[in-house]
Amino acid sequence: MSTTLESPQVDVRGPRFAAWVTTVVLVAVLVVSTFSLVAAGILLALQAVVFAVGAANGPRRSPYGQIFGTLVAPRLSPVTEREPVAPLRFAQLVGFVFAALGTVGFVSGLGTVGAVATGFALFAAFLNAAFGFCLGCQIYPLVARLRTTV
Amino acid sequence: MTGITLLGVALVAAVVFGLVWQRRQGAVRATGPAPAADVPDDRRLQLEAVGIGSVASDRLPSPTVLHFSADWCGPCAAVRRVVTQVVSGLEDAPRPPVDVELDIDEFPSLAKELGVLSLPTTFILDADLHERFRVSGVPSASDLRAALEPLTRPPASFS
Repeated sequence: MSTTLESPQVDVRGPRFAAWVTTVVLVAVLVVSTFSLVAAGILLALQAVVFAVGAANGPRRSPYGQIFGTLVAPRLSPVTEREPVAPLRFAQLVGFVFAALGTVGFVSGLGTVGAVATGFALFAAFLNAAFGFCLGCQIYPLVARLRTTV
Repeated sequence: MTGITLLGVALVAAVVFGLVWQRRQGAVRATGPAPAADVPDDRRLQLEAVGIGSVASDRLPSPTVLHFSADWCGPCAAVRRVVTQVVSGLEDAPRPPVDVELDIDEFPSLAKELGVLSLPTTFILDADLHERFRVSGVPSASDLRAALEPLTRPPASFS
């Protein structure tokens, strides 16, 4: 007995690659924040834009996804494992919220707010990159449940 | 210095969390011995509504492997393969297990009743509909079979 349908999917290595790039960017944001809050804010704002594009257009058409698709994927073996797109987009949206909050913090001179928000985003990005655990995707069923009950 | 401190905290926290998660992933965890209390009526009704626990009169009641999935859940396909393999391997048992897959979006209240917070989540229910085992992630076929097989034996009073 099955009640499951098909949905759009992507190569799991794409989001994993994007998570590594995101991790590097967020580490850079925290390092830069020790000497220039404005520079950290600008860098984090760029990452926020990347998150927003990923949430709006899906992982394949996000900036890191396009780098993966054009430069990395052709050098890899054929796709063996795919994952659905919907939770990935939601996770990018969660990332965007933290990145936007952090950007506002840095730019308005509240370095601690900026660094804490960046720290949360880094936690999630590194967890995804190193372990394949997508925190945003784990929260997705709760949101899907809320959506169906409302 | 706040930035560097938080950098360290975030990375260490992620490693600790990730290692704990990795250990729990796919583990078939016992959720208790055979409980004496009856399954709450509400839960029983919801399970029976999806066809769990109703048996033909000429057959012994069977355990159920209940797994929640969704079209947006990648690893659910792997769970489906493992469950199909284990359940079909036990189809000649005195009480052959039943494989039930439910879409979490179609059965949100049952998912809530069973406390499903993430996908994939798999349950082993005994013939009396008690929750006996719970799996987050993809179990190995041997672990699932080891947990399920004792429940497919005939009850002591029948042997």
